[in-house]
Amino acid sequence: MPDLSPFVISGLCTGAVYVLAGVGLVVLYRASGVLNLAQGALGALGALLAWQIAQIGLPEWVGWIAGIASATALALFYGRVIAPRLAHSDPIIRAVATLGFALVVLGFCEFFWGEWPRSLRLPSDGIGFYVFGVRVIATRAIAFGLGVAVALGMIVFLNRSRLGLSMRALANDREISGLVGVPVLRVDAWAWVISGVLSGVSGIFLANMLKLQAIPLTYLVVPAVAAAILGRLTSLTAVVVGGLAIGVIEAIATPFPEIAGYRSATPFVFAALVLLWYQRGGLVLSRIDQFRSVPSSFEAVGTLWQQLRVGIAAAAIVAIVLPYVASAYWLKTFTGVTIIALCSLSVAVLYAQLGMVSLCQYALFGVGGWVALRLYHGFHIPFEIDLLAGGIAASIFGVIFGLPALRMRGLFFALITLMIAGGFQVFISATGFPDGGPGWSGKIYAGAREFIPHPPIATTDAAFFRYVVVVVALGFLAVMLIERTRAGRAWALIRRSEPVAVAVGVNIVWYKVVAFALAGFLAGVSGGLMAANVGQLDGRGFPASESIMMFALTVIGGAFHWSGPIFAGLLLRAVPSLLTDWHVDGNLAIMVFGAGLLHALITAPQGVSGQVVALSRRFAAKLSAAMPRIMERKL
Amino acid sequence: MRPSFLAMLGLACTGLASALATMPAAAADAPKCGLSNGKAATGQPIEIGAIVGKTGPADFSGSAQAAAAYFNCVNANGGINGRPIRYSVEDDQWNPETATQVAAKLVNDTKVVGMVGNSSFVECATNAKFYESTNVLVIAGVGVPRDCFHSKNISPTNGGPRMSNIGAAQYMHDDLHVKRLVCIGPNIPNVGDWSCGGIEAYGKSVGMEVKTILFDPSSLDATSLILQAMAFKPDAIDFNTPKELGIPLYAAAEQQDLGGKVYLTAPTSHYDASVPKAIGPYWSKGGRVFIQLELEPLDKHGGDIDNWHAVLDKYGKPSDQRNTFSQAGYLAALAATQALLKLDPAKIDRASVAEAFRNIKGLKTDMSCSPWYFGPGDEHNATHAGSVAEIKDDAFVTRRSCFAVLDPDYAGILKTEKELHLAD
Repeated sequence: MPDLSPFVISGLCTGAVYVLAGVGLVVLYRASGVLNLAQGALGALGALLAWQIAQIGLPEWVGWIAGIASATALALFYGRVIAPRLAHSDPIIRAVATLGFALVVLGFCEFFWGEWPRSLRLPSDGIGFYVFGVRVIATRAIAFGLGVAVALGMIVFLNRSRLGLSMRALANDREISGLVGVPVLRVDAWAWVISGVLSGVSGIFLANMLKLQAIPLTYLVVPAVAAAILGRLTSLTAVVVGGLAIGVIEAIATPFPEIAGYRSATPFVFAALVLLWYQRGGLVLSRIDQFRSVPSSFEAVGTLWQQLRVGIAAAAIVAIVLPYVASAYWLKTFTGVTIIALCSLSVAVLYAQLGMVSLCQYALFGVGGWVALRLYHGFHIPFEIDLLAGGIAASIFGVIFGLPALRMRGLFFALITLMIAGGFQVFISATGFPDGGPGWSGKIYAGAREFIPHPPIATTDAAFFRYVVVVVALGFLAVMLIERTRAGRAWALIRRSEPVAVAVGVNIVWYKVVAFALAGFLAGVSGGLMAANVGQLDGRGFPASESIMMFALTVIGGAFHWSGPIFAGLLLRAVPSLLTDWHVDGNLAIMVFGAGLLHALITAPQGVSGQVVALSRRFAAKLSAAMPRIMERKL
Repeated sequence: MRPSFLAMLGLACTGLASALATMPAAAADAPKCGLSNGKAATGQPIEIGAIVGKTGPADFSGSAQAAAAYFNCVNANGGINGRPIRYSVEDDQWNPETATQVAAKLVNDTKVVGMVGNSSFVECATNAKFYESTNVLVIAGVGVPRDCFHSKNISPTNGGPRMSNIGAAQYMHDDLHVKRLVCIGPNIPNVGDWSCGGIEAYGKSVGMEVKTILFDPSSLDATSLILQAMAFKPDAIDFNTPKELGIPLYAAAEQQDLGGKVYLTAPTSHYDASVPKAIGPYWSKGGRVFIQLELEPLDKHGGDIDNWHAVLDKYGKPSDQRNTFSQAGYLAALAATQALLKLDPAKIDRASVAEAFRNIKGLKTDMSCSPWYFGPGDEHNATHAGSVAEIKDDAFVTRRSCFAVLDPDYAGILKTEKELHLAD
């Protein structure tokens, strides 16, 4: 047994990071009801600005003030200009919207500063003391003290001061608070100012303690959410205790080689377990108001048969014509678009049919790819069987992940799926995807890696594109048909009101399981297709942020019509390819996606496809109105 | 499009200004490239491609920046016997899927005759078979994973992380008498395991105890890694990472006040003027950090190093990186240009270029300790000797020049080299 005491100390220091980030999240959630996923991005911007100002020779404190002030100003801007437009939305929609803002800020930081070795030093770095043979530098102690002090201060503030009480009232019920005379906008603004200051301060500390890079600082919000979850997003004491516990558990796994590679999964596993513990009480019936007014989703224009004819004809034309007209680059791109559309469909099924936000579909895509690769390399069986097995495996995982989550309300369901995506990220980057090696992982170390070829019936890029179109079209067909069955009708009732569904005898657990299984299967099959498209999958290509992007882009594309996932595929693959082709900075695409997500959530909840469908309807109506007149004239 | 006040400022502050400050003024001579006749080439362009990993965890585009500057210079100096080179650089964004797309674009759409100056963590593995099936040869600038050094059609001008880390360990063992060493590498397949494995194999051959710690680059907890390394009671720790990923490790080691307890060493990726500044005075004051150089020091004078500075000054952009990877790109472009100049300009196609590239041998330059050649077979690692520099007073001071790296796995390469007189 190795001596663990140094790791406990080191873990407490890392825990301070989680505490600081988690406290900021909880404060804003309690004060405004918004889970601010942009907190990390604002902190990164503040830290980079502070660094920049020190570089041009101004005193360090000028940089700190400017950094904190800019984070605060941006938070206030979001709180005053954007947040009110979503004030009546579901908490999960409000959380996802802040992600759009985070992407805009992140894209901006990456565009201006890029990835480069930088460090942000603080005067307290030079002072340190020893505990159990570990040197603790003053910065970490201050950060930890600050986290605790802010937590304590906020507890007093929210319970004692007039403004604090108003904030809690507002977070609980905006309308009633307004009616009884709480100055809604002013109180809201203060909540965002506090959140902005906290993100700026923590950004500077975190950049110093971790690294001064925008991407890791932005996505630090994912483990910070884990810490915040420990206190159900509301208890500041639990965040402090939980954050420290996560840090310590993560650190003491270090000297054990069997688990050391997976230790960064601690926050996610911890948070997932705690969420399950909190939700043990029994079935919680939920209803997401957002979905009451939405028309039964995939039936938008025309009858099923009309839609099928249009869809199949369109797929056939694309499959036949595209390989003749597209260059090699665009053919590969559209193969990717088609595959990703299937993964997006898996997100859309859960979101549009049941109103559930799954942030782990890209992880299930990875599970499907892993199984397909493992079977191919292990047994060299026909690709179609690998593909099917990948789909089934992802489907099983989808149900396993989904089952405990059945009891959860919207936001918490989304968060547990986010924790699953975070856990998968750690697992897959440690284990990698099979490439012909021995053992259960099938991984080659320091040797010649093997690749999965296109299936034998479609060896050329053109033939493989057609193969992919056929498989993906079958996936869409399956969803459209299942929607017409008993399951589809049950989903329609569940999404409108779970209590009503229960009252009329719908087995909501069973029909949710069906939805999870279907969504998992679709994601798994698309992962297998992607493996065969590239020849391998990259263990580092599955960060939790990809699953979040998959959801965000599905919302932008439009989850309520079958064309939506295709728009999502185009946005996720064709738009970046276009920018790559034009040699435009990829970070601009991130900014555009962020703005697009905000736009979609605020003004076009049915996404691009909703707008296109509405347009075509209007056009059809005009045409049918004009037809008789035209006919008359002819007569 | 890109330059803005802040960006310019950022680059000026981080890279360029400090790079110039630590470097003697570049040679005043006019750059020499290709035919050096001062006449702009106007014939039908020759298509050459490159794939680099620019957008992602670290910017690995320096190699193609230097190659682009060199080709610009060639085109302004008579081109390839009158024909200019059209150089298309694509960013694989550290993503295998994108890597296959841009390879299809360059090979099938642009119809390149060959690739020069590639530099990527992912594209060697994903595209090696594709290059073989399309008869495209790649003079890579910077090979990183093992796949770049074990593919029939790819031969890098740099030494690679395995070579560089073993060289660093050799210096630790021979000159600083290190008995116990820890190699901390990223758990990226065929990168960390392959290169730290090289140190282990070398350690075994000289009786040095070596421990490997592979870590998840997205992990937040650098202190625990350092504590884990220190539990082995090492005399030296090797930070086997791109420079961006190494910075938190230096900071954690500083926090544990390891300055007097261990030496730090790192591969050539840390040989960049931005590093001494980012790691701060604690490590950069001298005697504590030693970096292996796959190619020769930036401040060495004469021949190609002066010419490389001159080419970048005149034909590059102010933001172009100046480090080993940039040198490797220059070297790749130089090797390619020399091979192309020997061909009949009317008969430059993929087949003739593939043959010409594969036959390159004995390219002697003061930029590299060993002559460069493409080499036959499936294994290519022509650059297998290098130097070591100490970080001292915010700059790099060469401590040991041009020594052969003793990788037990080089047996096959050394044998072929001798038999075919590739290095002569």
